[in-house]
Amino acid sequence: MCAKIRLGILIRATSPALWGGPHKEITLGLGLGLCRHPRTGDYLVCIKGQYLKGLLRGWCERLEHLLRSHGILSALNLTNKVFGGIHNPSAVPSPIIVADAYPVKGEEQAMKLFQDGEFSYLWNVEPPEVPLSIVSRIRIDDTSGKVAEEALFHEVRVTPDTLLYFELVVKGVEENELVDLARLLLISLSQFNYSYIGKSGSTGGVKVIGIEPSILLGDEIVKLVAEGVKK
Amino acid sequence: MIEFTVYSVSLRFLTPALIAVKQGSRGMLYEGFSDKIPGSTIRGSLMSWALREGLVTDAEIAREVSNPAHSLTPFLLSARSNGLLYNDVGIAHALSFKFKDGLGDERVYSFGVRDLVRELQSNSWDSVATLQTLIARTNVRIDENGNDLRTSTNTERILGTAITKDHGSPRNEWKLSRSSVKPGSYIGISIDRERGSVTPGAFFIYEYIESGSVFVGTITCKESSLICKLLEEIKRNPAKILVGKGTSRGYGVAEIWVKEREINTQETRASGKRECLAFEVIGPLLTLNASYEKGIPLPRPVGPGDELVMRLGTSILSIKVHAIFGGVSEFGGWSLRRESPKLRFNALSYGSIIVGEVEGDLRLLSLMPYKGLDELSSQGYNILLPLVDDFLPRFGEEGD
Repeated sequence: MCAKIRLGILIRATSPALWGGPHKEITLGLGLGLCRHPRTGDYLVCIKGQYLKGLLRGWCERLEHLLRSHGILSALNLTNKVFGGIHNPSAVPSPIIVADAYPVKGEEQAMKLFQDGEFSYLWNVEPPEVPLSIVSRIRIDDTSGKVAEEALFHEVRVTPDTLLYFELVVKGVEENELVDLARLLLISLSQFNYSYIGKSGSTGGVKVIGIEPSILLGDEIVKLVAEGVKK
Repeated sequence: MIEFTVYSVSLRFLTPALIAVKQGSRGMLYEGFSDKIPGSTIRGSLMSWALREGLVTDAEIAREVSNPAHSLTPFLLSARSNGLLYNDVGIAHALSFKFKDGLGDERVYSFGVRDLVRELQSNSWDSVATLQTLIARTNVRIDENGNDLRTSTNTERILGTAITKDHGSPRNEWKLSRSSVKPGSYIGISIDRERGSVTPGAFFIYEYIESGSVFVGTITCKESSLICKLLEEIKRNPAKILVGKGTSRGYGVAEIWVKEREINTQETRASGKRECLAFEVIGPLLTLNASYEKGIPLPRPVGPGDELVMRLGTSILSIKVHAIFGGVSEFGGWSLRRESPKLRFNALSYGSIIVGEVEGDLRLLSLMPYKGLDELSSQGYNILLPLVDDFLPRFGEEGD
């Protein structure tokens, strides 16, 4: 019997933050990634789903063995099952879908978007204007200890307290692995609070806005992490 | 006579979509479709959605695919969100052209399919002479037009491109769909897990369909078929399906909505008489012919001299092909069921025109654009649109 997990996640930038993407101001990683809103056609600041998936996968890979050794997980090879093998040689799509993160006004708007249904936020979201800042950076020449010649870079970044919302869905989960998967995903997501979540020192915090099926909150560890993951 | 249902299906992409056509050097560059999605891709997406939702099993899908009771047209980019295939959205055929960009005229014109059949018959089926005559006549009409930049040397071929009828224009003009929605491309890398930085040489460029793009097509199926049941389920509960590559990374999320479509099968002309008609290739056209040496049916493009047959119950319609205009392209794909590439083969391209003598039950002509000729239409191949009247205007006919 196959089940599904759906999570709604709110990210708050806690530093000027930068994520790459396919649009507009990209110049070899120095630009801010933008997505095209499917309804309005406007370009908005976003975090690409592939970036979030990679970030999440990295933490799942690091934590899975540790959590199993402490009895928090019992299922085997969850990360590979959910994210697929590296470069996915079988070319079968992995069961997880991580969609792009779009700016939102606040937690209330994010909760409403989660209640609208799976991935409905991609169409329904009314994104706010996102304040941007320009950060100038240099590179140090290791030999002289001074600024390297011509190494002055300007980056466009979102300002701290910018909020972005995204959803991830995992379908085709075995019923007996559902709770373990929820634990692994939520604990891995919680690590975003303690590490870089974007380029060049971008930090942020995450909050779980919604979780389906809600019956998962009956598990003590899932409830503890879901309610405790906030910054 | 009708024992199946025709559904008009629309897709709206909520995220960019990667539908690869060609993979370049060492898997680094992916050229993608930008204005059409093959029917087989949509079928695969529907089946995958149903499997993930627990509505079907692998065995049921295998049964449906091996004995198909369904046909799918390609899905075409539409410049309007509520377009219907053939009424509002179509494919530019082999005799169509437009003026180059920037000349103030975005309309799609034709060299004249109406004259094509007549000229072919009077030229003893000489395709080259016929084409020369039609083009020369149209070019004279264009160059007599006046002193603006719309001259015969400023036209371009648009065979196989998706076009949309602009109902807001004074003469319901057809225009390229992609003039409203542009494709994009993005650059990606792969992370080396051990070093935590970019994997050497892992640099990819993908062409993608932009989010917000709408594609329309039709799916025709028997009521008892699995596909029909899935479409009825989507009618009741609108769904989101995943189309193309990179779906786990958030690409290809599409809303799908479905409604039944009425097809007029009334045919006033008597059956049985031979007549010459032109047909536009909507689903790439191929035939399976045994090779002389080993008797193994191999796919090849339809050519002059071939006889195409459409059967529905006891009704039969045959087309004896005399002339072909257009081109040949390579087609293939990936089978999710077998986790392996599909056989690559050549077929007549989207928008090509075939002209042939038609004999049999002419009522089948109105079903051909939806049902297709044979079971290959279950993968989006062998679908023809009879061009009894050219749906595109000739330059000069309406006071251009």
